Amino acid sequence: MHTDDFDANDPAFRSDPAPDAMLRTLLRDERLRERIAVAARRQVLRAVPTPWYGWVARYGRAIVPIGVAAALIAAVILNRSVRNDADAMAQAAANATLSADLRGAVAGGSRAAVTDAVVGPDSTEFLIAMVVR
Amino acid sequence: MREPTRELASDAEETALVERARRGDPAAFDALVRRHLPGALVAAERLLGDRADAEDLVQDAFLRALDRLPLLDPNRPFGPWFFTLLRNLGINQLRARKVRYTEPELPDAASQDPLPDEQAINGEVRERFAKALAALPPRQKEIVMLFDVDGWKGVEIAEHLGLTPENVRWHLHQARKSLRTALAPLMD
Repeated sequence: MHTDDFDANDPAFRSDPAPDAMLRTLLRDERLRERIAVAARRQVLRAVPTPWYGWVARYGRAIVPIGVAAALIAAVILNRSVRNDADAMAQAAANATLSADLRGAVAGGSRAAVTDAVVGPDSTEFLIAMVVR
Repeated sequence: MREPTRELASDAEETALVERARRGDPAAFDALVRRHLPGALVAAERLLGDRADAEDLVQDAFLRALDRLPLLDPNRPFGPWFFTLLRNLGINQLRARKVRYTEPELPDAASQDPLPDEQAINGEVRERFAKALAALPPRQKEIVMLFDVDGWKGVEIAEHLGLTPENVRWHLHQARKSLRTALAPLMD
C-alpha cells in the first residue's frame, strides 16, 4: 500500500495507473475553460480604452530612447538644411561678383580684360611663391 | 428534467451573470462559460466531428459572445442566443473547409443535451473539481494533465520533467487522490 511519502520501491509506482475516463473529461473541460478565461481577459483588456497614464506606464521605457533618437535625427536634418542655405547664399554672392566683373570687362571691350574676369588675372606670383618656398 | 422553481432561480441567476459580464466582470463571464461549456462542446463536436476543432470552435464562440454581449436583448436568455452563435460559427467553418455540407442533426438551441458522460457530471461537481484542481501543486497539475488528458506515459513525463518515472507516478497518485477526494461527497 502506498503512502503520502514518496517511496521509490513502492510496487504501486512501478507501472502507470489505469486511465480514468471521468477525470479525463473533467480535466479536459477544465483546461478549455481556463484557456477561454485567459483569452476573454485579454479581449476585455484590449477593448478598454487606455488612459494617458496607461500609455505612459506601458511605453515609459521606450519613450526616452525614442526621444533621444528623434532629437539626433532632427539635429542632423536641421544642420544639413542650414549648411545648404549658407552654401547657396555664398554661391549666389560669388556669382553676383563674377557677373559684375564680367559685365565690366565686356563693356571695356578688351579681350585680356574678359579673360582676366573669367579665369583670373594673369600673374607670375605663383612662380615667385614656388621659388621662395 | 429540471424542477420549475430551480429553473427560474437558475434563469434569474444567469440574467444577473450576463448583466455583470456585460459590464466587464471576468468572473461572471467565467461562470457563464462554466455553465454552458459541456453542452457547447457536445454540440461543437457533433457539428465538426473532431474534439480539437470543437474546442477551438467553442472558444471562438464564447469570445464572440463576449464581444456581442452588449447586443443581446436583456429579456432574452443567454443559452439559446449563444448556441445559435456557436452553430452559425460552426457552419461557417464547415463551409470554409469546403466539406460537403449537410444540415447536422443538432439539437435545437434551447435544449443542448450533453452526451451521457458529460451529462453525468453536473455543475456542482465541475465547480468543486475546478477548485480542487486549482489547489494542486503546479507540478502535480502538470503531471495529471499530461497523463490523463494528453495521454503521455509516465516515462515520457519523467523525461520531460527530469524526474524518475516512479516519482512521476507518485505525483500522479497524489493529484488523482486530491481530485477524487474533493469529488467523493458528490458522487454516488
